Amino acid sequence: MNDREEFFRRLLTGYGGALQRLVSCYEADAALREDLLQEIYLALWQAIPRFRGDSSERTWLYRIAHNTAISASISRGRRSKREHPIGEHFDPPSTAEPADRRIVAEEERRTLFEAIRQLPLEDRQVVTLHLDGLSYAEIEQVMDVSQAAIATRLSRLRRRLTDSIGVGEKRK
Amino acid sequence: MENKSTEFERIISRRDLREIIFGAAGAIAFGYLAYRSADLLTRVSYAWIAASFLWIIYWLRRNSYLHRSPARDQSVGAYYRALFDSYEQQVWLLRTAKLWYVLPIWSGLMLFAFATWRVQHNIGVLLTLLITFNVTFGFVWWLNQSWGVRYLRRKQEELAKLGRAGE
Repeated sequence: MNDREEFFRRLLTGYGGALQRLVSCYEADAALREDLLQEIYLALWQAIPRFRGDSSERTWLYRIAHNTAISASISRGRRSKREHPIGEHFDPPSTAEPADRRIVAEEERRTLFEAIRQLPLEDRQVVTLHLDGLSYAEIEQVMDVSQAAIATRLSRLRRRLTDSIGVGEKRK
Repeated sequence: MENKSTEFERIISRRDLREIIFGAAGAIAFGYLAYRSADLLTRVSYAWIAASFLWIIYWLRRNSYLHRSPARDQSVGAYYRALFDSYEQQVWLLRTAKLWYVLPIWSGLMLFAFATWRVQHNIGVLLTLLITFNVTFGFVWWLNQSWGVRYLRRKQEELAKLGRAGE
């Protein structure tokens, strides 16, 4: 196995879960999520030779993933309007949890992703990066937005997401 | 796998390749006709058309470079702006196509029609040539100006909408 393949495999192993969450914030439909994931893998594979380590591996990966998602969203633009989500699929929760708790956790996650998908693109990206545990400095590197603006935006988004999830809960 | 690219990039790359092949074939064919032609004005018109094809190839290669997909490892903000710019560049290319694409070939063909009439003195042939050339190039103009620009503007709008989704 050459260096490129090894690096690629390491990325998939280390960030596979994060990329799954990222595509869930862009696409509601399982098939479209899978397509987007494949496109991100392809973009990563193509970008590996250019990776010089100027930024951290993590910020580099998130830049490529989000930029690919932007391109894919435009390409799918008109198609997506005609297609409706068939069903949601998320990472299977741990089977160690009792069944009722698993259902509640999955339902909460579904509601959260749904609320995130309703956000404008930049807000969606900031939230996704924040949920994946990136520091403000790392988010700044990925997004090209100042840390002060990120802090302000996140505080506004926390309120907005809490409100929209709350409204969703009340409706049920 | 590495050759896969987005829909937009594919459309633009295909268009550029098509124009370059078409331009090269046109330049060779009309260059040969100019070489073989006995009448001076006809020869000038053929040479003009051949030169127009070469000019189109040069212009496309010089100005369509932005169709190359912006690097995805730049920051999201920079990528978003670069995408917008690449659409803008293509819109500009289509808008100015009347000057760098339609006008040079059309003027060469008009000269050719006049040269043919001067040799043959046949008004029917002249009218047929004028109508054919003007209808064809009118259609090409419309295709670039209206359909092409509308398509790109729609894509740009989709990009802008992405930023506003949910607002």
